[in-house]
Amino acid sequence: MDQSEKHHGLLPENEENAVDSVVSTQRVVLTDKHSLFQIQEKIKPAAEALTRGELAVFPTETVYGLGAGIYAAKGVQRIFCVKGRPADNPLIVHIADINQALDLIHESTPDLFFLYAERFWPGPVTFVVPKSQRVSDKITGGKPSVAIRFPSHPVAQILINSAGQPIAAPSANISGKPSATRPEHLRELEGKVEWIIDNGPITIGLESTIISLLQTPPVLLRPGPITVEKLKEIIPNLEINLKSSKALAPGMKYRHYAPEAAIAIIPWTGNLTKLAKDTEELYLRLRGEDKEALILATAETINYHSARGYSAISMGSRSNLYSIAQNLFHSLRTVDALGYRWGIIEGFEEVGLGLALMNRIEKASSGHF
Amino acid sequence: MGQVFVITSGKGGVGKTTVTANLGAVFSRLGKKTCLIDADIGLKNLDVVLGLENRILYTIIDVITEKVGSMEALVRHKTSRNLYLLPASQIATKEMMKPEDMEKVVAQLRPNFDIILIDSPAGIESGFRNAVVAADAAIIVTNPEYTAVSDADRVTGLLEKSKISEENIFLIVNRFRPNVAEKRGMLSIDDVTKTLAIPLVGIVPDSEAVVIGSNRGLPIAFESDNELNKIFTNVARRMLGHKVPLQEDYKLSKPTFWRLFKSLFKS
Repeated sequence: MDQSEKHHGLLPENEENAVDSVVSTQRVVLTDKHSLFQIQEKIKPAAEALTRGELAVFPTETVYGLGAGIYAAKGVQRIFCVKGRPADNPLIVHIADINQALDLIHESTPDLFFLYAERFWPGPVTFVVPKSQRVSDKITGGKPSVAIRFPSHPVAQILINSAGQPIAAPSANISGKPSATRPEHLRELEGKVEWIIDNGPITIGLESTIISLLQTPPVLLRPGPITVEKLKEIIPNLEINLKSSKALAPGMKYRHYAPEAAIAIIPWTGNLTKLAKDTEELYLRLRGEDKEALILATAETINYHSARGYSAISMGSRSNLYSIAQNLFHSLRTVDALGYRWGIIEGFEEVGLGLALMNRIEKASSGHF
Repeated sequence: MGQVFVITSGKGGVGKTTVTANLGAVFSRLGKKTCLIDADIGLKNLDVVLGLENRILYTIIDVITEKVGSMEALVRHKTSRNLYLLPASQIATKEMMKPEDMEKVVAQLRPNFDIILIDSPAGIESGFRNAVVAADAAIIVTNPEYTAVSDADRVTGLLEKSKISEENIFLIVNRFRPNVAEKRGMLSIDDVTKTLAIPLVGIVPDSEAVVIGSNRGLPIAFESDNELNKIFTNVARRMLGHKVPLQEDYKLSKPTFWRLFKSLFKS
């Protein structure tokens, strides 16, 4: 525990009203030097606490999660309070072994679930299937279905394995804000959760791809790191229907991923010069109205803006959209962190990973500018 | 006198039977007279993976009960003429076999083969003990998943208490996927080897071709000129004591990894 630090809350924890009280947060810092069994030793107290209704922030390959043991009703309830999350917004249940899914799914779950799970798990894909009686309605937002994912991140797997039960977890951020992808994003949860397991910046940086198996053909509910092109190699009849307004999947019904600042998108038309000039035009127009904006540019356009003295940061290179995914939420949070009230973000072509990027970018900006 | 390896895992579903079938394919291609023993009694599948399920006349239980001789019970592979299978029995239960029975069967087969691979059942119960008792060396198959690594560690502990000497316990990481951006996104080879302190003899990439091969009853390593054949050949040569650097597996895996990587993040 040499690297752990203890933060004591200002108020004593009140059992009756634990949801609103300040709790002391213990931070466990893990590095890549630790062996799996060393990690297991270090996070064991957090894993055990999850079964008693305590909350832990933990790393996954997609974003940081805010977890509670699925059989700890108090913990599940607290997730909604801590995040300010609407109760009908379901949580994803995280497992560490495909066999754990057997307790969670209803017998009417199609066999295809197992075929798909074997191809995509462990990894950043969530499947929505009919739920068993063991999964509480609190977790599913009252729906008869459950969203399940087997993360590939070793720390997530060890935490779930050590807890001895699946972990329900949305992203570790206040509802509506961009998801947390770096340790510094977790500060807003200090004093609200008992444990923060800090494993540095997240690898992928975008929430999982969500697929519903509640109907035939299966439906893509949320685009994510595993692209439609890759999904269709295994699920050729996959239906893409992203306009549905119903809260079928976690994080799809409500405004999400949005910083305090107003965000405008400059559409990608296939031409870098046009993109840079369109961005510049809006930037200068805002400046004329005394509105200083931060440009969220890419490696290909950053020099254009910085050479002209505009406020701009690069999210990564267009030649590797993966690098942009890794930095997207951090960049959106940077607009707020640097005190800007306006942000201008470049758009992307909606193919491959670009589909998931644009999904998040549009939500970050929706009806806001 | 042949060398006898038991292929084991602790956790089920890590691809142990597929690895056994593919190793059988490459050993026989290396000119080794090879026998695969399916010790997964009550759950036969090595025969299916090898495409031999319709050729079974006798099983290991028939040998134990002395209905037939051990050589008589073997099924010869359709194309690899020096690869043989001693099938498991579907109807028998694990309790019908004792460790002494396996020792007897292996003692009979050993003089006739260069390599004998015993496919152990998952778990650490009686079936595991039967499979392990007659082996000179053990291969532990694991996946880059914590539960698989943790079960592999448990099996290592048990094997160290068996008569197999510690330096004859080896590790294969199966279904390895590229560690995206070389960061903590999934379990890396380094994570696995740092945790399980046993020598690594193979890294087998997660590949659609391996799955399809097993489903069709034609393990991928039967085909020449593919990366997986070369990877399994490297594993086999390491099992025979040759020094083949693990870098070779990485190099061969790269095209496969790269294709997967690109398709995961197609832009």
